[in-house]
Amino acid sequence: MSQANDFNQLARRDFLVRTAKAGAAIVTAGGVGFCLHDRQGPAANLAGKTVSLPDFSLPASTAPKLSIVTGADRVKTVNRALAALGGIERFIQSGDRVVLKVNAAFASPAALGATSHPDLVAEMTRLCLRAGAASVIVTDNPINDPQSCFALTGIARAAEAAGAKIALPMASSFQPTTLAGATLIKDWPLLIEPFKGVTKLIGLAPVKDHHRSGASLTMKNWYGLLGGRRNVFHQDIHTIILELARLVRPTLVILDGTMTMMTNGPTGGSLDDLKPTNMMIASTDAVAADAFGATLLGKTAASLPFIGKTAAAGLGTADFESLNPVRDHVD
Amino acid sequence: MHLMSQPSHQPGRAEQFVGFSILLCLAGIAAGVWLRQFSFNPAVLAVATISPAAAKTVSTSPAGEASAALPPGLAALSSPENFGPDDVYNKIDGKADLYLTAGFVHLTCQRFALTATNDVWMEWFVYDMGTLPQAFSVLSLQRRAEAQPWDVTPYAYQTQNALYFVSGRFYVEAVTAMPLPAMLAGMKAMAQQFVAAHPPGPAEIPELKLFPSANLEAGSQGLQVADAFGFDGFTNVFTAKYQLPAGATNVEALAFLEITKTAGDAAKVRDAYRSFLLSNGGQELESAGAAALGKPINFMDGIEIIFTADNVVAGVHAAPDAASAAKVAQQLVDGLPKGKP
Repeated sequence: MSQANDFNQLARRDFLVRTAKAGAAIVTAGGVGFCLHDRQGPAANLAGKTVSLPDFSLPASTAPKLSIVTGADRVKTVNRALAALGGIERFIQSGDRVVLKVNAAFASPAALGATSHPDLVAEMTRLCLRAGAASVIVTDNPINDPQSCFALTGIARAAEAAGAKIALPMASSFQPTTLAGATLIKDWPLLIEPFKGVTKLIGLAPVKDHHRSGASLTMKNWYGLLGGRRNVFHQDIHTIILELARLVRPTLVILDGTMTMMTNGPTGGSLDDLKPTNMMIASTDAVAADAFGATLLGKTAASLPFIGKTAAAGLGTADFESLNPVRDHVD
Repeated sequence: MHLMSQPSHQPGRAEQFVGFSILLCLAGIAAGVWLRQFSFNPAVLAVATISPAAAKTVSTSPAGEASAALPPGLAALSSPENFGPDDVYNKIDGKADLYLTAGFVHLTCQRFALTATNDVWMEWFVYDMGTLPQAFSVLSLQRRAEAQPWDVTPYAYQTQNALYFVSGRFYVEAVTAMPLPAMLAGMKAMAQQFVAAHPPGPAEIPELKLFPSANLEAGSQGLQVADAFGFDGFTNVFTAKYQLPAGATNVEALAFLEITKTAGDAAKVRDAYRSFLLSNGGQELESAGAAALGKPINFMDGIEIIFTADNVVAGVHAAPDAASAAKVAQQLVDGLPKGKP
């Protein structure tokens, strides 16, 4: 064997040894990684068990389900709209504990129309208390800082003056919820604290254009009950509205079309984004209310996929005229 | 056997150094991963932190600087708030996508009140959009129908209660719900200070000058950074509205153009858009007027014309009739420079 051959043989052996060591190192590292891999991912940072909202809707009846009242004065129109459905007493009885879910998403003045109007919130509070409600809680999980939103919109002052309590969301106000059959609402934080002991839920939403969903109406308003990084749902906005409509079954919804945000929603900003449409809608069918609300934005129910989805899911009817809405007017 | 003990088989100093360096790097990465996993982004899975203090941080951003030199009569009502691409939705919710698509970098906002009364206040938003065209894009996409011209910069307008302008890479909004003269004057003074403090660099966007001025609707020019007209093959499409006299009323047509790198690229975009229209129900029309610019396409009751001129792909979108579309298209092609703009 020549010296060159010896060198080649030894080098090959050395190579094989080193390769085996490297292979062992890779296998060991991979094995350790495999063993340590957490297939569940990090758990949500939420204390407590999964919760769900009760069904607050009224039993089916032959009473009117939708009223549409024209007029510029919110206090008058909402009173007339409720009267057309049988009066507030149809929805609120003595001892009821009521949540008013408002839209307080932005820390902007009521005049800009991005949030529920304080006059409407105050009047609904008064009506509920007058009907015998034991308590009225006004809540939302705003996009902006909650204290600023409730203060700068004027909602806090108006609601408290009328006798309601403001429930600002705290970290402890949320519990995870999972909607059966849902693709998005799975183990997701839900604003639940204000609902403890509550027997009735009323949604109060303004009519707004929305950059992603096309419209922000009563069903989109439930978005404010979600916590966490909920903006991820914007990528599938119509599905999340459908799931919210399944998750939240209110006693009544009030859609405020007194001043409609026609463009640049949901934030608006310019008074030029608003149009006085002078409508107040009250309904036990949120799909129908939203279908009518779409018309105030110059749209049709068919052009807003979330209305079609919710109607197809049996949550209400997009054909609001089929409900024979009670129409009225107040000066 | 002699060779087995050759020093060449023992790692040299350099080799050892490299080996240890690599091991050190790997150890550093492992330590970083180990530490990071203890602070998994809670925003993804947990309740959003609800602390006003958390959102209000002192800023050295443009809004912060603005508050440092406020016009007389205005005082800061709140601390500046700052938002990046990850959390801008916390401020503007569903409108965040509009900004993110256009290249959003940073938002600083702050509230200011008249010193005479804290009840009259406005909010000042400074969006850093990265570039002048991107800032112009978000201005143009949100332009109000009732906008009034305002000359603080070439791209600015006002409404009854708000100011909107672009200065360099910044898009700025000043919004009040109570447009008292004193407040509006303060907002305008603040805007002028901002423009002075942030020299805009190239003040104007050259692509906008490619639109012919005849029948051009003032203030109607816009920029769609992506997905113009629902077609994902368009990038940075400039648009302008034209009002063509038609009897007692005007007919509106939207002209558009995109500058690509080469004539070949322009042709590819043109062909792809034609295919997009035709595959989605569009129908080619026989039209003598604009035949040289390609056959018009009737798409959802609007007339589309698309053509190229060197590296420019241009056309007319959703015109009400073929004659109007052809007229605007011809006017547009006549105004384009010969050769690359």
